[in-house]
Amino acid sequence: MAAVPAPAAPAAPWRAGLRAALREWAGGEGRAWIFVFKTALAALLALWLAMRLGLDSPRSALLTVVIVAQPASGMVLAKSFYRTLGTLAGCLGTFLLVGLFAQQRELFLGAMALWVGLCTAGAARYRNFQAYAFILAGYTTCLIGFPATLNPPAVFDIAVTRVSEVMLGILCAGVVADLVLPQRLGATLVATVRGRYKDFLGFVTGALRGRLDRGAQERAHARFVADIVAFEAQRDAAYFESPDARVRSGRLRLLNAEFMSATTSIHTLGQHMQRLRTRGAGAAPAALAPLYEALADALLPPGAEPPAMAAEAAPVVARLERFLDELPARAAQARGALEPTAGAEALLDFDSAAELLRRFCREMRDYTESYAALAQPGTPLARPAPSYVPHTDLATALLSGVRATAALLAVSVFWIASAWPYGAGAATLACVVCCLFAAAPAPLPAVRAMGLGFLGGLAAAFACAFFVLPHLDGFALLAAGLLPFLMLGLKLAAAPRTALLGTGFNIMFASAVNLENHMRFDPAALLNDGFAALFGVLVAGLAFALLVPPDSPRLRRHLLRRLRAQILLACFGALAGLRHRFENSTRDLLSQLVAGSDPAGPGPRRLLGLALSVLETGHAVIDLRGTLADASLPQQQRAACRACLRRLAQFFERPVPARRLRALDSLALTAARVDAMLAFAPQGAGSDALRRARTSLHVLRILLLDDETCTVLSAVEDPAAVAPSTGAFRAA
Amino acid sequence: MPREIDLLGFYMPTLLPLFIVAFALQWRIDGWLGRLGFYTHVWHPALFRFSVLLGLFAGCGLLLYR
Repeated sequence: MAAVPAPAAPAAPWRAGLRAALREWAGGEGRAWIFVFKTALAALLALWLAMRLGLDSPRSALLTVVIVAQPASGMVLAKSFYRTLGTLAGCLGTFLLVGLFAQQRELFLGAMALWVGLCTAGAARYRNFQAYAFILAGYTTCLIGFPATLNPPAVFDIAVTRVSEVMLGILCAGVVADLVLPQRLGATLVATVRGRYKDFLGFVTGALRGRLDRGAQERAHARFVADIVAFEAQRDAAYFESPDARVRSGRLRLLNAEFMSATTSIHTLGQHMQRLRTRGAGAAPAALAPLYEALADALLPPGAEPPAMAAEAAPVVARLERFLDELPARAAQARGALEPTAGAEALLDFDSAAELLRRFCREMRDYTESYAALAQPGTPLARPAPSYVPHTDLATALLSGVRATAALLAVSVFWIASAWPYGAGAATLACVVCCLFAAAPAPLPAVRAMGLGFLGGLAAAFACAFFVLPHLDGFALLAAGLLPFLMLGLKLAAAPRTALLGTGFNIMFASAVNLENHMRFDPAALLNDGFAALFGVLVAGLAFALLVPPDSPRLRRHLLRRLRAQILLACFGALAGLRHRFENSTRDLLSQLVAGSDPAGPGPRRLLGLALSVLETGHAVIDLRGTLADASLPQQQRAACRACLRRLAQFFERPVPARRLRALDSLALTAARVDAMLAFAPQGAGSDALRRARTSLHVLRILLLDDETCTVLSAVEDPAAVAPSTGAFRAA
Repeated sequence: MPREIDLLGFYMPTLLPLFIVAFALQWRIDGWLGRLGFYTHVWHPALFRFSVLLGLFAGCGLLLYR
């Protein structure tokens, strides 16, 4: 057969087709199946070890594996790490509670509700994987504490068993996720960074050459906003994957921070130009147009391809450096051409726009430099990487805590009043659900999906425990009997649309089937436990629906006010590292507001407009404050600028026309003072700082004169702006 | 070395702290090898890492059960 080489040509079409189909399958559906088989393997491994070691309830190990299951290896490791921390903290909390209140069930349950509320507030405040530690700290106390109240001296044994089982599950999940066909986040991150740089470069050159309309710009900004937050979460998890990822983590953080600044700057520049044009001040934009062309050419020469990877970005940095060196001369030349015909106002327009252009150019250079540096992991960072701090608004977080406390108290009261033997299960589940969805933008659909999953899991557990398992003997057969159910749940969990349904199914199945070395087949207990759990979910769902749901108009209005009040941070916050802190917290608030909704919808677009206006203004304010810190600025002018900032802050606190007028008056007054000083001593001490202050004042004035921006800012009071966002919540 | 440690009346297997020690050691070695660029020559870095951890843990275990 092998003697005659088969002609390749006739076989090629179907082979190529098969190969293409296989590749496509491996990219999409294949990944899901890999996840299913890996997790099932890890789950059965954990179960076998737990049974072999004779642990009290092997189901905890099984449960842990299905809970930490994630498609990407780094996410499993990150979740496992925080689960460990949370379990240990929960253990310590339980010892404290049992030690203090074991004899008094009312006090015990009350203290427990407070503790769970605190943990839930923490879980809501720290949104990334850190939240998971708080969730675990919360419900581990329920899992250990409730059995311990029946037998307080055994609390230590119960805790040790629980911790050993959770650790065993975590070890199995982590080892399997990392060793068997690992799905690395690092590779995804690299692809994201490359795609984003190319995307941004295309956007910037398009905007500079004036080829993008308003809609396209808005869409691009919406994309960037969503990207920044998602990227941070991924980077966080990739940290656990390998030492390379840990080395790269700081670089990626820096890259993300610089990307944020660059997107704000390009937006500010575009808006400034737009405002000048609408005011009929077309001279300055026309004079600057050649500079824009030149910058676009420096970024991406016509006909050239954007750099496909970090190593190819080095020439862009060199071109940008050259452009930055030439910029003052070119700007002076353009200004010289403008001077004979234009008035003082047009020259100020020109100066402010040129300053914004310079800033954007510097930030783009920094961003490109950091991107190019990714190709040389050995070199030290060009600048210290500021951290991105995702913090949910404190009031929202505390509300989540109150909700969890109330839910647990409600179940406890029912439990005590009715002397229900299965109340502990209901209380535990109420607590789990409240913690788990504390940070969800739309918790009700999520709770509903998970509740449905629980119901399905209960049915599956019943079928498995009483129709399949009694016929089986030995671990191999047990595994074979469990596998179809596990795979069904995991397959559901693998698809984003059914992720919560699948997670609920898995959790309920793994806990209700109650595998032990000496199986007890007790249908009544299984159903009683299952219905108690469903009751807990119901109470938690009610708590979410009744106690100020996270998507209620009131809460959204509060967040919107906070977003606008970010200007106060820019006006009065400590100046060290302020620019990044301001950018970070503003974008974080925005991401909370648009979370879970379609970024291209009308609501999020208006929010984006608001956030970008706040960012623009804030950066102009911070520029001005930077100039104020310059010691050479005359005292009188400095005081005037400070007064101006106070007026501006007042306007942002409550954007009514009267306050806007007062802020504009104050700006005009200060500008007149600065002008007078400059006219008096054009080359005197501090004239440089005065000129810079004058430019910042001009930018602020143009911003405040823009009616559209002011409408957007005052839109908080408009009911349409606070309409709840819709959309499903991706798995917790 | 004792096989169990008396911790406030609760007996903890000595293997547990040894595991933590092995894990910390592995983390250090891992970072060190990563900086040296050693992992570019390894077929399956995760497997290698796990094997190092197992080796260290087993080595520590030998201190107890020999």
